[in-house]
This record gives sequence, structure tokens and C-alpha cells, in this order.
Amino acid sequence: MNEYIAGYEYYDQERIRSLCNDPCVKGVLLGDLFCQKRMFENGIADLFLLMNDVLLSSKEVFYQLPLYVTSRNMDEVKAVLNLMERYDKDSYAIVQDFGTAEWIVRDFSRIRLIWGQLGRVRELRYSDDFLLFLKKKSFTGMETFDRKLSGRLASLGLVPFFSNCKLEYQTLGRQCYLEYQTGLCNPAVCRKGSCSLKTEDEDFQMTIDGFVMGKKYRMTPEEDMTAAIREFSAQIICRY
Amino acid sequence: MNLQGCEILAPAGRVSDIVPLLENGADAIYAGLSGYSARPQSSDFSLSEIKEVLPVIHGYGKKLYIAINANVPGEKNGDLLREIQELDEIGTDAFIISDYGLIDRTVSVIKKADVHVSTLAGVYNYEDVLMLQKMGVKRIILSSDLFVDEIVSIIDHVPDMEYEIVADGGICFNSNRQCLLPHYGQKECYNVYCQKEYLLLKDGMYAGHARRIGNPPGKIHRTMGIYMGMGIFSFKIEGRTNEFSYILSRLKDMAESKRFYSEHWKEIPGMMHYIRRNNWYGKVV
Repeated sequence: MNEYIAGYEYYDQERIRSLCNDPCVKGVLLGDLFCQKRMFENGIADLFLLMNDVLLSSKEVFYQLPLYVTSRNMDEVKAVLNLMERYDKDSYAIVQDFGTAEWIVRDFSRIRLIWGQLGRVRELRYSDDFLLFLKKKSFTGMETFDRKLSGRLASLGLVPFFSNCKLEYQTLGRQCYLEYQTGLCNPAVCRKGSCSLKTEDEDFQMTIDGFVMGKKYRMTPEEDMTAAIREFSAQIICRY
Repeated sequence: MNLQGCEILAPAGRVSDIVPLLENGADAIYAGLSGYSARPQSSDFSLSEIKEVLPVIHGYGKKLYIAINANVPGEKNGDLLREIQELDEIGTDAFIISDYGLIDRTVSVIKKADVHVSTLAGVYNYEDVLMLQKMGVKRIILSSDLFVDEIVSIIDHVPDMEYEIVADGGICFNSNRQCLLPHYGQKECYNVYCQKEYLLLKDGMYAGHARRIGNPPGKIHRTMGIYMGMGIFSFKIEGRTNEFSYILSRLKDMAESKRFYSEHWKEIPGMMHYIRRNNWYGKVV
């Protein structure tokens, strides 16, 4: 099997240890788009500890920045990037806005940029101008699940980071629906997704999973992934 | 804070909307460019329609902004840039754009018009604003996903930028940039799942009625003064595809609010004290 970047929904020390010892794993993707409590038992504190473990290993770190980097979490994000920068190795940051990308390029010389799957507006089309803009802004590549887009990226000298799945979610926005509905922050229920909503008048149902409602991932066809590796030298991100 | 400069921005879906909007309090009007906006084609304006309405709008001393907020595939780029140049030459006041690549190209080809960054571009922090300012952008339409303190932080860091918010309509409780609930808003008919009634199930068993997923569209006209105090310049009414009578009623409410706060602008610093907890008094222009 080709080397891949492992991206789990939930991490603990044991899982990190096992990934760091797995010869197929090229790098580990850490950081939740919305809520670190969902990904780590002790939230942001664990993100620092476990990322440090990966940085000490031979594996590369891929940091998934929050979808919304705002004044509320900017210092926290900077602290994580500082930790990555301290090690004498290249790391990667998956970002969703250009201002954040700009200060990463300015302040962190060892961190490479990847444009995230969710750095998009309502539609999934990307114009040629947009892809050229990524290049202009020093991006290494872009996360995608689209074989055709992988080809366009490669032709422009950008690395396609091909994901084994499309993150397909339905969100309530920046407020956790579970907390909104029950009044409790409960990562265990959130991860288990045991709560769901159903319309009264038709058969439309979605699970409540913290900030996320509905099906999280749609798997990318295997042949697309194989073709992206073969034809466009894509790097593979496997999310579980 | 300059209340005299506060703007109410109204949407036009048809040529016949223009005069009633101008006569009922709109300081500026925006319309979609046919083929390149994020709304149904039927509510867009063709190049010739824009040429027809522009002198009328300027005759009232008001402005016209053209929305080009769909991502444009490569093969249409040349045509679009030619249209942008033509619209710039005839006096379009600003282009509303969401694609960063297109923003970059547009600022290099236009001579007179301004560029406003669409709410769909996702501006979340002051670094985004600083970068866009360096690119030559005149106005940021703030993401409707931002909280009040985040808006204040952005404006405090980059005060020499124009800011606009979606003040009426379209402010959904859902993240409107990323929500994938079935929502056929891009088509001619709407089926909005966030507005439906839901039951809550726990492990598949009925556990009661669920709280609403999506709030009804926001209407902030009564609290407009707070946003003025924060430094918001433009207040947009959303909904080019809505019934015109509805848009007109929203516009009248907004215009009434603007009048009210303009008459009571000295009270705004007092209101802001509770929002900002700092000495705002010295900052009134």
C-alpha cells in the first residue's frame, strides 16, 4: 500500500503511538474543524500533547485549522503553529481562509500550506483564477476528492492531497446543536451520534453529532484515488 | 463612527424595482450580473438592462453595485473580464465578488469602480481584511457566521475599511457558507429543510420535539444603532428573489430606523458602552 496521511475522528495516546509505528503512515492529521473536545478527551490540551508526540517521531504533522479562525481562537491557533515551528522538520497546515494563510507564510517558515476541503463557498467549482491565486499565495497544494481537480492542480504545480472521502456535513453553524438542544456539552454522545432528528411529515432524518448533523463522509471511489496517485502524484489523506 | 455615511443597500431583481427602491430609502442598489451571480438567472440583470438603469440610479444621486459571486469556470473568464471592464467604463459603482482569483484579476483591470468582497468569500479575521485591503478592496461584506465581538475585533484592527453586514434576510442560524441541508435555493423553487418541524430521537426512540434548526431570516433594523456604533457602514437587505412588496416593506423599516438613529446618534456611545466596555466616547466623529 502507498504511504498515506492518517486522519482520525478521535485520538488518544495509544492511537498516536500505533500510528507513529506504522510504516505505511507518512503523517498524522490532527485538529478538529469545530471542536477539539470532540477529537480529544481533554480538548485543546491533548492536541498539544499528542501533536508533540508526533513531532518527536519520524512522522509529519498535518494540522487541520478550525474552519473559522477568528479573534476568539487565533491565539490558540498561533500557539499550535508555534509548537510545530519549534521542531526542525516541515509540517503542514490545512487552512480555509487566506488571511490566516498570509500570516502563516509570514511568521512560520517551516509550515507548508494546504487549502482545505471546506475552504469554499456554496458550490464546489473552483475557477482557474482561484487555483492560480493559491499558487500566488504560496500554497503547496489543496485537499480534494475530485480526480479531475487533481489533474488541474497538478498541471499548475500544486500537489493534490486526495482525500479518501468527501466531508459531507450539515451544520447548525458555529453553535453545537447537541448543546443547543440538550443544554449539555457531551462529547461522548456527540461522538456516538445517538441523537437524531426526523421531520414530522416526511422520511428525512439526520444524526446530531456535535456541530455536525447528518452523514459525515461519502467515500471517494477507489479508482479515482488510484488514478490520482498514478496520474497526478497525489498524496493520500485517509480519514476514519 | 460617521452616521451621515451610513448606507442602506437594497436588492433589485427586475428593472421595474429600481425607482420604487430609490424613492423609499435605498442609498444604493445591488443586482446580479446575468450568468455570474449566485441567484437564479431570472433575477439577474443583463448588460443592456444595467446600461438602462445606471443613469436613473445616478440621477437620484445613488449607487449601483453588481454582484458576480458565482465561481466562474476557466473558459468564461475572458468574457467576464470584458464585461467587467465595460461595466466599469459606463460607471458601475462597485462589483461584489466572492472568488479570490477573480478579485485579484478585477482590481487589476478596473479603473473607476470599487471592489466589495462578498459575504460568500468567508472573511473571518482581521488578517483576511488586511490582505484584501492590500489587494485594493474597498469594502468587506462580513460573513454572517461571525459573532458580535469578532466583528468588533476586525473593525478595531482595520478601521480604515468599509464594512457591510447582511442586515435583513438571509441571516440563518445555520452556517450559510457550509450548510448542506437540502436547500434548493439555487433553483426557482425553494425547499428549505432547516425551516421544517423536527422530532428528537434518542437511540432511535422519540424523545420530544426538537428545537428549530434554522431561525427565520434576521431583521436587525431595530438594533441598527449598535451596528452603526461598531463601525458598520452599509446595511444590506437580502433577497433578490423575494416578493417585491416584501422587500419594499423591509426597506421602509430600515430607512425608518436609519432616520431614528440619525436623530438619536448621540445616544449610541452610551449603548456601545455595554457592548464594548471601553471608552468609546472619544471616537465619535
